[in-house]
Amino acid sequence: MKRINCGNIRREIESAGSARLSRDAISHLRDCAGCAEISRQQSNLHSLVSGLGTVEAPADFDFRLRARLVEVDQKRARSRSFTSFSLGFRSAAVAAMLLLTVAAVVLFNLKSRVDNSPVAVQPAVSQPAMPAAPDTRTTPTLAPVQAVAEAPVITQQAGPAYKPSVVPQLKRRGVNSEVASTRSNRSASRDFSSTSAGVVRPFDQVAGSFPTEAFPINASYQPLKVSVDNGSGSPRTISLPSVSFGSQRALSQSATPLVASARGTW
Amino acid sequence: MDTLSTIELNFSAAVRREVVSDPTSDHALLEATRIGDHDAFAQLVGRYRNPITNYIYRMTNDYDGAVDLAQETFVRVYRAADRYQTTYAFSTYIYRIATNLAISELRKRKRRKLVSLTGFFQTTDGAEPQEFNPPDKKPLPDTELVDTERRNAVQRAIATLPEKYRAPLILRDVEGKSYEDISRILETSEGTVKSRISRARGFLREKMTAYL
Repeated sequence: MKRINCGNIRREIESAGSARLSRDAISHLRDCAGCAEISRQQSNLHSLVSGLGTVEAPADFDFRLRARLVEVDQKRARSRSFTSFSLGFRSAAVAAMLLLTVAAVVLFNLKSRVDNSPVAVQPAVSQPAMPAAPDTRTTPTLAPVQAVAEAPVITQQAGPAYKPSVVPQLKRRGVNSEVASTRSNRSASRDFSSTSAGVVRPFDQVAGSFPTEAFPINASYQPLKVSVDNGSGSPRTISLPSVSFGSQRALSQSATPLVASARGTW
Repeated sequence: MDTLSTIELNFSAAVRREVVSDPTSDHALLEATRIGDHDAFAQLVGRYRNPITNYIYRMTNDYDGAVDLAQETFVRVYRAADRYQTTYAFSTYIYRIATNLAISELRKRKRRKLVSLTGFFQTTDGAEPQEFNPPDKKPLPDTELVDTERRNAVQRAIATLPEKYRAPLILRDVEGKSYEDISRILETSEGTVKSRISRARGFLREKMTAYL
């Protein structure tokens, strides 16, 4: 059985609200002035709260609500029109997006490859068999053609398509001729300006088709040659390379160097 | 089939019978709304607009905001009409939506209120700051003014209650809902509802001592 004390009665009063109290609680209130006061306050409070009245919605409530519902319907219609696309259309759109993405990636890769190619790359030059003397029309040569043909030294740029058999001589001890590239997968170049000219011996194939002492080169790569006579009968030939990547001497296949090389080459 | 399933089936059947038999019931009106009957929805709005507006106003103590939230409540009912299940009464459903909206609004306000002088007057349980509202002991000349002042004081006192006490108190003492309905609206047990209402009344009595 529940004990009748002030704590229990006050809890009952607080939870009762407008409901009637139990008979035990009513009899306790007759004897306990404190609990009676609390009961009186509670009933007053309840009458105050329940007497707050009701607040009514404004007159234009329905009108405003209808406008909002029209908006909702329009949004719904818009979302339905988007979702009503067929599955085929949506998948085609996704496929097109994927295709565009792949194309963009491929284009980007191609572009980056072009950018990463070596700076000093010379296009592969297939040396044509030229039995005749090199074309000197484009070469600004001051010396007679005969002198140029006898020129002992021919400078030529180093390139990937031209591999002299004496490349190891290009590197001098103590001189680091390698100019390191910034990244391994980027451009790589080699500086020949600080190395001596390599001795170039014609290849077998070239030698067979071009047995002269002069190494055949493309006229467009011929250096500028200047023949100077100092008045004492000993002309000197000055060969100016077209690109400052160094110079290479071309020797005939025979062990003896070219005759003109004794005159001195710069 | 166990007893519980039988009871649930009977309950659902009773609800369906009510829907079919009484075309003016809330469920029937919502069914009609679902198939595009705008007049049915207008009837529902007419039936609940004042109680919902009043309830939200008592919760938020802001009339304009209460009207907006009441409209939002009906918009949500309209949007979710397809998903509505006739397990409980429609009034329970719509009051639950209104309660959630009101509580969200109160929390938004609390976040907006970065620094408030009322923060100096916190309740002992640290739940929510009380308004500094000392009662005026001087007698007022007019009885109507007294009543108005008393109602305002009650409204302000209710507004200072923590939301978990405020909602059940308003639903019980202002809206006159049963404990069972309140427990369904607030999705808590009846015992919790009774306890919270009791505590809410205790808080209010402390604050309104001068008027009692």
